[in-house]
Amino acid sequence: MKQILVIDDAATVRLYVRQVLEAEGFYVDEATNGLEGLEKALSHHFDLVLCDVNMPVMDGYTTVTKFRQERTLAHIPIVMISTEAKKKDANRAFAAGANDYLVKPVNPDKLILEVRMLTGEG
Amino acid sequence: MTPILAQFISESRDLLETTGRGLLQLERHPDDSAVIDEVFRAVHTIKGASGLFDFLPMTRLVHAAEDLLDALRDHRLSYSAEIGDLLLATFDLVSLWIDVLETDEALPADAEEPSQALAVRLRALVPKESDEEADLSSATASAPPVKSVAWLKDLPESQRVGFYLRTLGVDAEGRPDGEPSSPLFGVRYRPIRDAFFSGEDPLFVVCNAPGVVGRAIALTAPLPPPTELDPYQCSLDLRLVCDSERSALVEHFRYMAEAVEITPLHALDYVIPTGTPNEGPVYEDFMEEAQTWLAQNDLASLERAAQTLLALANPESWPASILRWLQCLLKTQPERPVLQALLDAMRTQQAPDWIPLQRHADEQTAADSSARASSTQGTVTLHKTREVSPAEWASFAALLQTQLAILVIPVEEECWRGRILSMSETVSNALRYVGLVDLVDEVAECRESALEHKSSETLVNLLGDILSDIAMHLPLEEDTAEESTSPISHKAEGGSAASAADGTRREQLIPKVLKIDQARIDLLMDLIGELVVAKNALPYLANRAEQQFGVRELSREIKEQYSIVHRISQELQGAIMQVRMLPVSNIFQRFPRLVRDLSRKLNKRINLVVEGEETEADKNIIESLADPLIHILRNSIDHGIELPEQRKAAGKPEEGTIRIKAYPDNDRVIIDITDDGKGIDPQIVKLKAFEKGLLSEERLEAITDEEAIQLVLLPGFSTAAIVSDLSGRGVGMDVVRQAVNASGGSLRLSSTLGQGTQVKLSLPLSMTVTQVMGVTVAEQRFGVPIDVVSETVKINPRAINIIKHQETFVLREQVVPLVRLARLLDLHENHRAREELPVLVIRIGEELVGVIVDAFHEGIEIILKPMEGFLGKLHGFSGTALLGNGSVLLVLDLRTLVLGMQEYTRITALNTTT
Repeated sequence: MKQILVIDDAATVRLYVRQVLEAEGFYVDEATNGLEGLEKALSHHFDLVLCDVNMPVMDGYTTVTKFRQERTLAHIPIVMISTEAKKKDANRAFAAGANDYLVKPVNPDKLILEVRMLTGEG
Repeated sequence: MTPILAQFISESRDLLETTGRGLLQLERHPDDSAVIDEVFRAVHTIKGASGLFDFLPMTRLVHAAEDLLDALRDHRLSYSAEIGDLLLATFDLVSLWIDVLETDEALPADAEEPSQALAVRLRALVPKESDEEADLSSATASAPPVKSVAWLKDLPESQRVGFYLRTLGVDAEGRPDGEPSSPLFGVRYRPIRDAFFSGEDPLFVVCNAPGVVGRAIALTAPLPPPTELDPYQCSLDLRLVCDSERSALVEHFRYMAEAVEITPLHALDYVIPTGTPNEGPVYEDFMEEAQTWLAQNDLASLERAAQTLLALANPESWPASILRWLQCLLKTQPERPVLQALLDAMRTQQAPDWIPLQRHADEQTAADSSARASSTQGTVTLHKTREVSPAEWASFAALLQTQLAILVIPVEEECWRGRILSMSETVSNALRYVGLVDLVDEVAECRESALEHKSSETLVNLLGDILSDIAMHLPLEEDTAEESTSPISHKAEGGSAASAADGTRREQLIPKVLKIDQARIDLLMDLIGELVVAKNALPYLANRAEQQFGVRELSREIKEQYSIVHRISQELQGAIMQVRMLPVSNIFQRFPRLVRDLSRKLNKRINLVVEGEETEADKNIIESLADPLIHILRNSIDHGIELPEQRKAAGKPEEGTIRIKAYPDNDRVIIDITDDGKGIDPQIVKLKAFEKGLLSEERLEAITDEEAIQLVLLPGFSTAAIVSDLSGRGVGMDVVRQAVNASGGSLRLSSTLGQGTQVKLSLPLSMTVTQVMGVTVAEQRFGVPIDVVSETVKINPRAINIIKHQETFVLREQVVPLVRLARLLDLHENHRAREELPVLVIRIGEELVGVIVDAFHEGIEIILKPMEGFLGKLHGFSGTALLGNGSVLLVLDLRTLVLGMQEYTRITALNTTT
């Protein structure tokens, strides 16, 4: 079972992602900010990380960069999910180390396709 | 309600609180960037989450507020009172909507207008960004959100066939019939609910629309039952198909642009099967054969079979409708994806979604239709292992392009390795997903070479190759665009059975905080109350065992057991009470806003200081406190704190201070509200009390200033008429006192003229189980809440002195007035000569009063039930309780009894003479 980590400070968003992905047979774990996400990822295996941008404690950009610098986490694909639809925001996410960028709200089919694609779960 | 909506509501409430608090802080410290950040983040989160639902007015409004906050954050804008007011108004409205969501699970029908209006005002304040960047959505050539034209199904099928053929420019047999015409336009017009009153005439507008060729009408929502129907509200959903230029339509509907959607119609838009569901085995056979023919491109067989079946089918049925469309499409637009989608609809009973196929299909008909279809089929040059839809190919290509784009973005040295690794992981996974497994190894090779040579060149080349190889799978470019936002679909509600197996990991997901329905806690509380009472039956039982049956041993055992049950039930009660405890901040947090709004209105400057917000008390106590506290605060703001100039003249700082302080004191909570306003003028109070007939002339002279101030608390003292000319306070303070007493609390008022006023509330931590003391008067038993009893003494009848017609006795060198409970209750007095009289000493405000009874009994725990119905109007009783032996105990409200008006004045007068 592919394991997905959702990092978002909004409980509603986490619940939404969890419901959509669990229905598709993914294992979903949650973190409420970047630091918590990083700590979870260091102690558990994840196949994909979905990461919010604007969060307390540690924001999304910093989090993604930390993932890329961490030996054991560097390879994990990360999708940043943000409410900002501006190109510069996407580019900032990519510069930080994200592999893809989705704009909230993400419709469920799109989210499922994205997660399947990035985990290779055909 | 779905769990997600429930979560959204509760999360939004928390965030709105944060927002409200932050905005008030900003008012004091407009430059506090930490606060701006906090508010921004809260608002941002609300906006993000609201987007998951179809709450457009809310999302729009919050988004506008977020942009404004963003401007504040970036110092593109500086804080002003106007901004503060507007933001507060915005979040008041959002809070209101959240409340509505909780009951209706939808925004109020009239949310649209205020949302628009407020959003426009918010946006007007945001300075334009100088280098405004294009939205990603438009940059990546995404289509504007697709408006559903599913309503076309309401037009007759024959009419739609006509429109369909006309759009393609062919006749019924698929022969060209003139030029393909420019598309018709679908117009959907939903007048606002007040349309009939706002000068709109929907019918007139629709009848005169240019080039109307088709019409349908529906309701925006099902009509309510006739009793609730408001016929003056417009609930029409008017649909038109117009053969006209878009500009002419826009012009025609210009006055109601928000209520109108104008959509160009594609040929496939008309292809909507309709009819009654009818499933039979015969269709399943047909479906199987049809799939085969379709796969073999044997369209002739398919057409024949469709014709045969159609002759047999009920023409009103869903399958018949599909078959008719199938025939029509076979003649005019025989493309596999289109035919396939239509056949699928036979099974799913849902109209096909043409949007992904639309431009593709139109394009193909315009060109030579068959050539391209066959070329698509022939492109299996890559070793695919599964069917991949055009939409999936598009996503795949977009992902690869994104990876290519990422490679040209500069990156920090130490992140480079991570980028290459994660990128190759991403690409490999995507390749697996689309079935191009063979290429995964190549990616790995390129990755190694890239890491070795510190160059991503090989990866770039590989990605480029893959992209060009798959180009033929791709639909036209527009289809890669993001799909329109949609509310949560049924998919979101799937089960989580799949992950249940992973038990150990799952444990970590259990939240540390449980949110529990209050009703459940209340039930627990009621049950523990019953248990406490039931437990009280055991001592009775023990006594009976001993006295009636003479089994002393058993009696002793029952008593032992009782003490165990007693201890456990007390612990249980404590534990449950703990669950119900809430910090007083729950009510305190409303105050900053109250103080702000009121002081502004009155042109006063007031600083509110709140201390001890974390102090906890029972939820019911906290809630019952809200109104009295607001009342007290209002008094302070309204009558206590003076206008800045008056304060200046009095040598005080211009800004007044109101201090609210909460702290625990044994098993009680003390709340202290102090202001540094002008205080209460005892002379005016005395005068008013005299005018009201609450005080006789002689008392007027006799009572002290402090006692005079207490008069404010008397029922009947304050009415609206005296508020305006009374320069102190007094607005319904008796109401406040009653509310506080009702929850088992007490109130103390003190004031110094010119320096301020203090109100001190003392409240029990919980009000479920009450300790009462049993007393007997005239051979009847009553309960007296223990918290009013200061002590019990027995006095010699000879120690009673009469001072001014009032019985008194001396307690620790203090003269204490005495009242006889039998007289208060108008019961038969016990005149037998006794050695000593039992006296309950109770505290009323600052004074002690002795209450003579016939006998005391032990203290017991009871569940106090307030008097209801007719009895509810009786004064002097707190309620009733069921005792362990099944009898009912009346619990007295001694304060009210003793504080009968005449009694009160007599006592105060008396005290002054001591």
